[in-house]
Amino acid sequence: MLSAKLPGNNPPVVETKFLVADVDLDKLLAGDAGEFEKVVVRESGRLFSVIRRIVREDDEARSVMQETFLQAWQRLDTFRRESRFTTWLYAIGINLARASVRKSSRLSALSDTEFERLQPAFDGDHLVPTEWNPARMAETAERRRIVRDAIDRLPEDYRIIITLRDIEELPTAEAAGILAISDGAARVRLHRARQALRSLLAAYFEDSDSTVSINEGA
Amino acid sequence: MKVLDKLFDRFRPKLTCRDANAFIVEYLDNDLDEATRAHFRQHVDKCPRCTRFLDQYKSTIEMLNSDGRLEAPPELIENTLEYLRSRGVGRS
Repeated sequence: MLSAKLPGNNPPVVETKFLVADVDLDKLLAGDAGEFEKVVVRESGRLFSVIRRIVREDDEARSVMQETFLQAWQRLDTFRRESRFTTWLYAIGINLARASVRKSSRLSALSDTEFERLQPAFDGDHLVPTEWNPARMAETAERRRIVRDAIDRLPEDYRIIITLRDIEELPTAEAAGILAISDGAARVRLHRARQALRSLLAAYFEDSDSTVSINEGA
Repeated sequence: MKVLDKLFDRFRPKLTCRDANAFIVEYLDNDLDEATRAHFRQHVDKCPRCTRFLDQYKSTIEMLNSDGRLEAPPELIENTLEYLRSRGVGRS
């Protein structure tokens, strides 16, 4: 069963008659192909981006995305209006993308130990400062590559929350709903991912040899 | 009520760096209650390490937002619609 469950401490999000401005949810759920195509047109770009972050290959991302829409169409009768339609759709896509990665296991992200090393250090309760200078950033194209490579190095759970929340700019509650975790768990995961990325980017842009290189083990 | 609040505030334990760090996401999402937000700001304003860390943290988010997005291939939507039609979507 691929439908997403909202966290228990949240009231259910009841969809109104309209999914978005021009998509009629009642017609869509009744199997109106025209309404479904509107969803495909509206969500393809963002869904591709989320799936691509997980599978990390364009062709595979395209294939998984198409399968996501097909499964959503075939399972419309299992959507129970307990969440947003897009929450349900993205949950299907993320589950399929994760299954694809498990099958291929061709790419490796940071290990748990490496990820822990990227969290900030505390001396007792005091933050230990580290050098970090975004002003020294490279040219735009190079910076884009660096940022994307850094995201790709995160373990899968952290890559997904960063993509949903900071890149696709979904509200924390909706990201939590897609991942079927509580809002609190989503916030903790997001925080740790951001902190790890901060360290990964610092390591790239500075001369410091005390941090992990972004290209190490990639 | 305000007097009571001030009294409570005076005896409220001050935040450590570790405490402040744990509140960053909610602070940036504007999800902290007023009193906790004020305590968070008090700590950060007086702690150069946390001020610097918060700036770096926000810069990281800005970079993710401006440079992290992956462009979808231009023909993606057309290909997807064709794929779905070939698999029977829309056929009665």
